Amino acid sequence: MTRIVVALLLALALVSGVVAQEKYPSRPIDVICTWGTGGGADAMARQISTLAQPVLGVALPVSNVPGASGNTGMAQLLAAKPDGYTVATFIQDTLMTLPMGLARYKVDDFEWVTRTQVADSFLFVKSDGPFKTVQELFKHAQANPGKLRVAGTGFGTVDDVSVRVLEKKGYKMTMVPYPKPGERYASTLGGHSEALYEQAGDVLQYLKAGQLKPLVIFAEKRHPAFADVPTSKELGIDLTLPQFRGIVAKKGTPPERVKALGDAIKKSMDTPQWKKFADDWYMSPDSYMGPETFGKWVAAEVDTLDRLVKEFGLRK
Amino acid sequence: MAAPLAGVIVAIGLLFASRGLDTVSAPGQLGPSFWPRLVLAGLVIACLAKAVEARRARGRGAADAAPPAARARLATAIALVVLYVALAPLLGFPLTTALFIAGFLVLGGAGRPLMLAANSFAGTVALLYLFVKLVYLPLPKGGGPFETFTLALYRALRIF
Amino acid sequence: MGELLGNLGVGFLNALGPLNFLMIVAGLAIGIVAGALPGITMLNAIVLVLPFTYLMGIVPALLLMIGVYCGGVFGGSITGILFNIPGDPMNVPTTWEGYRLNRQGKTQYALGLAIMSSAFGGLVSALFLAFFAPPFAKFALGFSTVEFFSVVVFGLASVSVLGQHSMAAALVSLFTGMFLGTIGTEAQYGVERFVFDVPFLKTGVDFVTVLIGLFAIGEVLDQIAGTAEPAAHVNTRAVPRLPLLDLWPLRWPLARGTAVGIAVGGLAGAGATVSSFVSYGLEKQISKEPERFGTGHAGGLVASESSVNGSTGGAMIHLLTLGIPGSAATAVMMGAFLIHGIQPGPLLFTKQPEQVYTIVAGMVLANVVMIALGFVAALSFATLMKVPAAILNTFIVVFCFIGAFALRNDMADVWLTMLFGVAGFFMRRWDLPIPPLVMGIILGPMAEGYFLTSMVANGNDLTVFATRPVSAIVLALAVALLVWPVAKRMRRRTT
Repeated sequence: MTRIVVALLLALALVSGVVAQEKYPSRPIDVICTWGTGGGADAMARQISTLAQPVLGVALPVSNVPGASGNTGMAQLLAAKPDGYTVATFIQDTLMTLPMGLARYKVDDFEWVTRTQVADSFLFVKSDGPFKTVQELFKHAQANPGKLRVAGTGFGTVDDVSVRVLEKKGYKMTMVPYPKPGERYASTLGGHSEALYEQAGDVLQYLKAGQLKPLVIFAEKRHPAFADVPTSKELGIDLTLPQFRGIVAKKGTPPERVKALGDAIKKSMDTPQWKKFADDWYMSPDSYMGPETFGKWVAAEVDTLDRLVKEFGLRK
Repeated sequence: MAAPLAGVIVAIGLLFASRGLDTVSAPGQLGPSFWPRLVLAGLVIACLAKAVEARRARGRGAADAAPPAARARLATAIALVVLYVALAPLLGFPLTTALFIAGFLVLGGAGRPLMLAANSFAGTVALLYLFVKLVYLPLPKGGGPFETFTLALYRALRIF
Repeated sequence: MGELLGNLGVGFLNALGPLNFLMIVAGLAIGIVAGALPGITMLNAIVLVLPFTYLMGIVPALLLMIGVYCGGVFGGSITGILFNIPGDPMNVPTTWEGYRLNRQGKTQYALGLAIMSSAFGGLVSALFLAFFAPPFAKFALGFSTVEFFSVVVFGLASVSVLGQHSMAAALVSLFTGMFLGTIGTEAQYGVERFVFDVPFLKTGVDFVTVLIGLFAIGEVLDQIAGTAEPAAHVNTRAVPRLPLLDLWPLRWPLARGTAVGIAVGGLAGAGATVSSFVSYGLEKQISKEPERFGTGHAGGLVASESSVNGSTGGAMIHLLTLGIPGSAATAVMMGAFLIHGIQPGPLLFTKQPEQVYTIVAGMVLANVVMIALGFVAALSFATLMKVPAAILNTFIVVFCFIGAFALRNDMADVWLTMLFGVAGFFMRRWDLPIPPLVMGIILGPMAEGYFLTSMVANGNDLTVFATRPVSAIVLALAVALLVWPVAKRMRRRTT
């Protein structure tokens, strides 16, 4: 009984398979979000999914595959066929696993489709706390080495690198790992850590409510929304490791499909909805990078990170 | 008695495996090996306590062995489940699920053909509508011709 | 106060609007069914409805998710009581007592108690959210990982309550669970532990695979091998009783469970699982008849079930006033807020009072409606007891497949679930209790994270756990919980 039906369905499949040979895309494109629901990567993936759907004419269901700093999702992308029907998010924290020796792929294993977001990191403190300026904070750090606590994501991350760069300049602080964003913010709000290393968009609500305030931005030039916040460069600290998010596909995806995806994402990013989303999260206006430039930029970032990891002996 | 001691050996083996975990340097902090070692030490102690307890209770209430027929049924059930999971990525979720439902029903003694067909077809189709169409779960589609089959089935059911 | 009542009044009017009310009811129904289905957890359901919420405004979206949340944490207790398969980890203590009651022929009593105490806990916590959210949130920020660690340790110590026959067996199970929790990529260093080059172990072992494997698949295999114990009375007409009067003698466990739920859900943001274990452990310590726990004790059931739903209001305080999701479920709700361009946080109550108070009012309503829906759901799941075991078992396995896959859209989780299913079968045979293992894998990683963070933040000074008063009290209670049974046995021997 089952066998007959199977045979029938197989025949049907062959017929429909021939008919459906095939303009791209002709079925839903799976978007692997390499982080859990509710975070920045998830918000980005779901925005792209919603905005690119009318452009491509198919659904782009987002599936969250979190774990191992995003590498679980990467493994799944690399296991899929390079046919343009599976793409994934890729963010800075995942990139850091390459120089740390925790990733099992190379930059060359992906088609770097689009860089969708770039955001600079800040040091925030409690507004009603003792530190009004970055100078005061650093002076206190100099006088009491290791006493000030900076809430960050974990050891061996970009947050850790930044704190160590500051230590080298004589401002020794302790990085306290809070892997969950919520716990990280609560620790600074509740006075269990003195400073917070984060991007502005993620702590927007506390900035607007006047509970947190930025002291320094790790960037080359000041951010227009925080014009009075000095940059790390002005303070003589040569460190800009912007958080970035983008969309990648597996190496070997046909070039015309990569281009189709890239064009669709570009169109999505030109919509007013995306502009509002990007502004809400304080993204840099020059976030966009297409398939031609994104890959080269990432390779250069990895070289920088490699150098820093060796310099600070982050890997044993 | 033997089982708890085996637990002790496994736990000690894992304690050895926790060497070399501290590859990320964070001077002056407890490394990533600290907590698992604490837990494994606890496991060793608990297993030893269990061994002592088992020794004291020896002779009382031996474990009741399952009758051979039940054991064969159990082995078949486990085999079916393993096959189900192993074949799903190859043949796709719809086909394997229909086959598994039929197989497991026969094993459970509900082998009337009509009931088999109803459960395996209606059940699979209902699950597909619920989880693939409604909630976009990317259940395995299978490889090669089976992927084509799954996609055709989805199109025929108006899921895609 | 007047302004607050006014806001709440508007909120209730809005929440009773047709679309909003429909969302509450739909969410509850989805949540209860998903929670009750073995294999599909409340979290699965809340993640799966997320894409639909993009099509709605933020208020109906949130009401839908709150419905799923409130219904989902309760739903698992139905199948726990009826089939000994808790749908979610927080229903494990409920199952422990409820299934015993069912086996004694008191199915209706057990189901009724579970419905009423869930609704009571949820209702009180929703009202607490309505009236005290902002001041409570301020108070909650004073607690750090030091206190959270102590609360989790208390939860772990309640293993002494769960181990029925042998403390040693319970501890073997607990430490095995805690060890399983260390597998995979560690959160603070990003280092892989005990992965042994097996790719899927990199992600670690998700506790849901353990839960549904050990309980659901294990139970199915147990039935197939014909070793499951036969019921005293098979009660197929299990119409739940609505025991308003039955609750009166249990008012103190009910009050304590609700209070623990709000406190643990709101202070630590740790969610339903921690609070149900903590509440159950506390109840046994306070109870005059601790020896009857695990044999179908109504007080234990009421305490754990009311704290499960009591934690929902507490967790929502964290989300709405601080913008900090404490549990996985509220993290998904946070995602819904963000996608609609609203940042939950300190400004929400003042900037968008109408929306917030509609959501709060919806939560109050949800817990009232839950009594009716819970009743219907319990009734329909009870009729499943008439479905031939073969069909039931088959679909339990299929649902476990789907539920495990839906965790991370990864076949590896399905493999793990089935593996734990076989392990669960043998644990039953070898008299190793299953709940401590589930507890270990959930609470173990939380304990590790809080402990390590506390150590780094306090210069590796262990005394901090004793010098902070709340932490000291909770830890002292945990020690008492562990020592109590031993001390009592010693006393019995000497007399």
